[in-house]
Amino acid sequence: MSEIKIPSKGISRRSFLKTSAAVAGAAAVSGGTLTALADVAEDAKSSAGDEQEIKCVCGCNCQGCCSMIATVREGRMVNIRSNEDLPYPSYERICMRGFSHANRLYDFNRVLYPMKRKTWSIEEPHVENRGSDEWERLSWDEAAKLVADTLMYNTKNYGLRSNCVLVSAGNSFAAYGGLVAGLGFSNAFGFQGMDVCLDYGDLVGIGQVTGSGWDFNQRNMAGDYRFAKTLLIWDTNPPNSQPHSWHFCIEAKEAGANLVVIDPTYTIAARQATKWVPIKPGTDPALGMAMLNVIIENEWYDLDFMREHTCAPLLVREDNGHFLRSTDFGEEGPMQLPEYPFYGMLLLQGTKANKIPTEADTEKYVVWDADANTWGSLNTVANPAMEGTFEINGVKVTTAWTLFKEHMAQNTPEWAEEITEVPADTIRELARMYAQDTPSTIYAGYHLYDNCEEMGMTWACLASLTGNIGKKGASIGHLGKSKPDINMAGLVFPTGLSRINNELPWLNFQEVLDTGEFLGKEFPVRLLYNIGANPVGSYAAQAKCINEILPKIPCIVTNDSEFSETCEYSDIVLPSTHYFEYDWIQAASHTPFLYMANKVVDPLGEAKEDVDIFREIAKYMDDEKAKAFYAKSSEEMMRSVVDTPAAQKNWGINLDALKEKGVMADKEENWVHWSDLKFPTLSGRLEFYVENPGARINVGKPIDKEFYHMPTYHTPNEAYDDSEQHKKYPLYHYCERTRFHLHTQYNHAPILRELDPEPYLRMNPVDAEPRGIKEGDYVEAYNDRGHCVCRVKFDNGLRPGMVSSPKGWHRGAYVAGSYQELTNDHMNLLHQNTSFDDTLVEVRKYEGEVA
Amino acid sequence: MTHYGMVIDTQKCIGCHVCAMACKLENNLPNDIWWNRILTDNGGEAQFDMVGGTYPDDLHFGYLPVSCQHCENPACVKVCPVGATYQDPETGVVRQDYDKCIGCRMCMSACPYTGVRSFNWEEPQYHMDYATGGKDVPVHQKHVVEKCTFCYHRISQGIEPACMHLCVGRARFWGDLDDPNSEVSQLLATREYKTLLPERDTKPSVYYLV
Repeated sequence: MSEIKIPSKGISRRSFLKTSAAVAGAAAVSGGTLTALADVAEDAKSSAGDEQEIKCVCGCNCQGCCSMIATVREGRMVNIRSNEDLPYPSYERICMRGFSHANRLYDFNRVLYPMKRKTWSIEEPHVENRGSDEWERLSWDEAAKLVADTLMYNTKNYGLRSNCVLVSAGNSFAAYGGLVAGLGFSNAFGFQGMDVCLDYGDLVGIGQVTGSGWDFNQRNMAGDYRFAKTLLIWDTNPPNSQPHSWHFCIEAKEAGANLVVIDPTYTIAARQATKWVPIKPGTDPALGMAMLNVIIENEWYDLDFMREHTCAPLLVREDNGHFLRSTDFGEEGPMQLPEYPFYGMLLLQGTKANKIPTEADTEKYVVWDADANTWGSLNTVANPAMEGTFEINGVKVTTAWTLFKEHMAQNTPEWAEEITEVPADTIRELARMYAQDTPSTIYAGYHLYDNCEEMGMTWACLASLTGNIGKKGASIGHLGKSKPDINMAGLVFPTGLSRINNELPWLNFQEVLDTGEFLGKEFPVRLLYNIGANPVGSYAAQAKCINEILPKIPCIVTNDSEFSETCEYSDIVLPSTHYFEYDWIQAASHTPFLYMANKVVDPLGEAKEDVDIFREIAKYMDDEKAKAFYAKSSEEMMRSVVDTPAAQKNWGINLDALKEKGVMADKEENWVHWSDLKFPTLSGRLEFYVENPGARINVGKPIDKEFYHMPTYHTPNEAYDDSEQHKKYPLYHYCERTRFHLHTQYNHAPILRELDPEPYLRMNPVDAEPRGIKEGDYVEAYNDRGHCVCRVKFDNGLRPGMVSSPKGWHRGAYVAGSYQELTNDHMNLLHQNTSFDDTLVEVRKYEGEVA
Repeated sequence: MTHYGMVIDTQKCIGCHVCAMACKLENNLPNDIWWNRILTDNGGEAQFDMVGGTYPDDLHFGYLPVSCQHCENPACVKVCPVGATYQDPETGVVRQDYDKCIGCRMCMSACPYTGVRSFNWEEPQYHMDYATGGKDVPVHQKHVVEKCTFCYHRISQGIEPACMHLCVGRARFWGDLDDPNSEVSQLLATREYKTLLPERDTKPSVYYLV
C-alpha cells in the first residue's frame, strides 16, 4: 500500500506551487560516457530485458485520442512515446501533456482510498462542514454499502430521480469505461441524468440545419482538411487546443489554400495563417451573416446544389411558418411537428435524430412547378421554383430561398463592420474565398457566447448556400462522435430505454433546487453523484456553485482519480483509476480508429475502474435488472460493444483482433461526412429555414420560435459595449485553452508546473498602464459573481479591452478566488449552453499580501 | 564521416513542447532542468507565449526550440581544462564526460547559447522516487555540467533522438549533414535558413528554417 497521504482538505497555494519532491532513490547503472557509439550500444544490449512496452491511449478527451506506447520497468511507468504503428500514419500524435502521465499516475493529489467526510451522515449531513471537514478512510465494502444505502433511502423517501448523476469525460471518453460507465450506471437504475451544458451551443445551431441534433457529429475527418482550398479556423486556436490536427491545416496551406484565422487574439494559429481576421469578441455571428449577405448579393451561391440538397424550393406557409405538405390539405390538416433538435439527451441525438427520411416522407413536401405553373410533389417536380410567393388552395406560401434572401438583406458588410470592427472589404473577401476558392472547410471551435446557436446556424447556412458540405475538403463544425459499426447501446442503456428521461441541464439546477420543482412537478434533489466530472472546477460562476448550489444537496458523491475541487466539497469520495490503470476501449470518433487501451500499471492505492465501483455499489442495491447487468464480466461488456456484424464485415474488427492489434481503422483516413448528401432532417435536405425551433432540452419554458427560423443577430448576454454591466466592468474576459491543461485535468503534474508554474491574467499593456499595473504585478479581476487574484502577464497580441485566464487552474493556485468565479452562468432557453466567455470584468492592482 | 544535425522549421513550430518533454522524460532530467527549451521569439523581451509589437498590425510572435547546437567549432571544447567536453569524431556530437568534469563551468561561460547547459549545484532532485526514461541514460551527478547529448545512448542503437520521435507540428528533422541526400541536407539545399549567433563562428549543427 502506498504511503502517500490523503489530502485532508483544500490544497494550499503554497503546496500547489511547490509540490512534494522526493529525493531520487534510483540506482540506475551508468552507461559509461566516454565510450564510443558501438560500446554504448553494446552496454544497452546487456542491460535490456526487464522492460515491457504497452500500447495505451490517452483518455483526457481533448479529442486527440493519442495512441501511445508506454515503457514499464519494475512495474512502474518510466517512459512514453507516440505509437508509430498506426493504420494511417498521418494520425501519429502525442502532446506535451501525454508525457506527463507518469507524473499524474504517482502524483501527490491522487485519491487512493474510499473516504467519507467525518461529520456527514444520511440523517445529519452537516453540509456546512464541506471543504473544512476531516476525511475518514472507508473499506470498499463500507463505502459501497453507504452509497447504495443512501441511493435506496432517497429512492424510498423522495423518489428514484432525487438521485442526480452528473457524468463527464474526465475519466476518458470511451466505448467501454470512462464516460460510458457513468452513463450506464445512471441509466441502469433510472436515476436522474444531468446535462453538463458544455459545448452544445453552436452544435444546436448546426444541428437544426443539418438534422444532426446537438450531436458532435458534423465535420469531415481531420485528414480531410488537407484538401480544402479555403480553411476558416473560427473561434479556436488548434495549435494549443488540438495540436495533433494542426499539421493537416498547414498541409492545406502548403498546397496553396487560404488558411484564415478569425480570432480577436493574435495566436500562433493566426501567426501561421495566410490571413488573420481580428474581430470584436462575441460578434462572430454578425460576420458570418454578412458573408451570407455578400454571397447572396454577388450570386456566389450554388443554385443547383440548393435545388437538390437544401430546403430552398420548399414552400413556407405564411400562417404557421411550417413547410407546406400535401397532407396539410387532408382531413387531419397541418401535422404536428417535432421540435428541433428533437430530444433532450445527448446519446439519443445520434440514434434518434440520425434518420434519413424515406421517399414516402419526402413525397409530402409541396413545391411550385415552374414549368407547369402549378404545385406538385418535391419528389416529382423536375424544375421547382426557387423563388416567389404563391397561393395554393387558399394558403399563402413563399419559397424558403426567397424568405432567406429577404431576411439576410439587412446584414450588409457595412452593418457587420459596425458590430464586428472587421472592415467591410475584408468581409467581402472572406465571403468570396469561402464561396469561390472551394472546397471550403470551417474548422469550428466553440463560440462561448450567448449567441452561439446563431453562430452554428450561420456556419451551416454558409455551407448550405455554397455546397461546402458532404464533399472532399468541404465540411463545417465539429468532429463527430458517432461510431456506426460498434454498438454501445447495451452499456449505455443497460436495462433498456424505459428508464431514461430528459436530462436536467446543470444551468437549470439552481432553480430546481430553489423551487423544489422541475417541469411543474415536485422535484426534491437528495444526491449528486459526479462521475469524471468536476462541476466546482469546470462550471461557471464557481462561488455560486460552492455557496448556493451544493449546500442545498444533502449528499454529494464523487468518483475521481485526482482530488479535484469537487472532491473537496463532496461527502463521499471514491478513488477511480487513471486511464493507464485498467483495460478499456477508446472509441471517440475524432480519429478514424478504434483502440484497445491497455492497462499500463496496477492501480495506485485502492483505486478501481468506474465499472468496478458500480459493481460494488450494485451488490448492495435491490434492483435485480441492474444487478444482472453488473454481474457481467468486463470482457462480456467489451464484446457486446465491439463484436458486431458490421464491425467484423466492414473492418475485420472484433475484440480479439483489437486486443492483438491495439489500434484498428474503422473509417477511411479522410472520411467525408454526409458524402451521399442525404441529411437527417425531416426533409432529408439542409434546412437553412428551421420550421419548428425548440429548446435543446425541455425545461418547460417557451422560446420565441419566430425569432429562430433563420439566423438573426442578437448580442451576447453581457459581453457587449452597450450592456448594463459594461459601465462597471469594461474588460471582456475569456478563458484561453493552454497546452498545459485540459479543462481541470493535468493541474497537478509537477513536470508541467515547472513550465507553467502559476495562473496568470493575460492583459495588453495598453489596458494595464491606465490602471497603474506593471508587468508581473499581482492583480485582482472581479465582477458581481466573484474575483480572482494572480499575476499579470503582458501580451501585445491580446485585443485591447480584453483579458484572459488560462482555463483549468485549481482555485487553490490563486492567491484568492478563481477565474471560474468570474464566468457567466446565464441560461439561454434555446441552447442551454454555458457561455463562459460572455463575461465582463474590471481589473485592479492587488495591494494585499501574497503568501 | 557522419555529421548529425537538426533542422527546425520555425514556420511550423507551434511551441507545443513535445520535443522538450520527450527530452525531459527520456533523459530523466532533474527538477527544473530542461536541455531543450522552447523560447518565444517576439522581437522583444516579453515572457514565454507572449506576443510582442503593437496590436493589430505590427505583431511579432514565434517559437524557437533551443538546445545544445552541437557546433562544428565548439567554443566549449576549447576551454575545458580536463577534456570532459569533447567532440565525438564519429558523429560530430559534442559530448560531456560526467566522470571527468570537475564542475569549473568554463564551458558554460564560453558557450554563447545561454541556458543550453545546466549545472547540478546540489544532488539532483526529482519529482518521483524512481528514474524515468531510457535505461542507458547516464546518471546525473552533483557538481557536474550537463546538456543535450543528442541522445547518444539512442543514436548508438540506431534510434532517433527522443525529441525527434514525433514532432507534432512536423517541424523537426534530423540526419546526416554530410550526406547530400539526407532529408536535412535536402531541406538546407532548398529552403532559406538561419543559425544562431553566426558571428561567433561556432558553426552550429542545428539549423532553423525561416
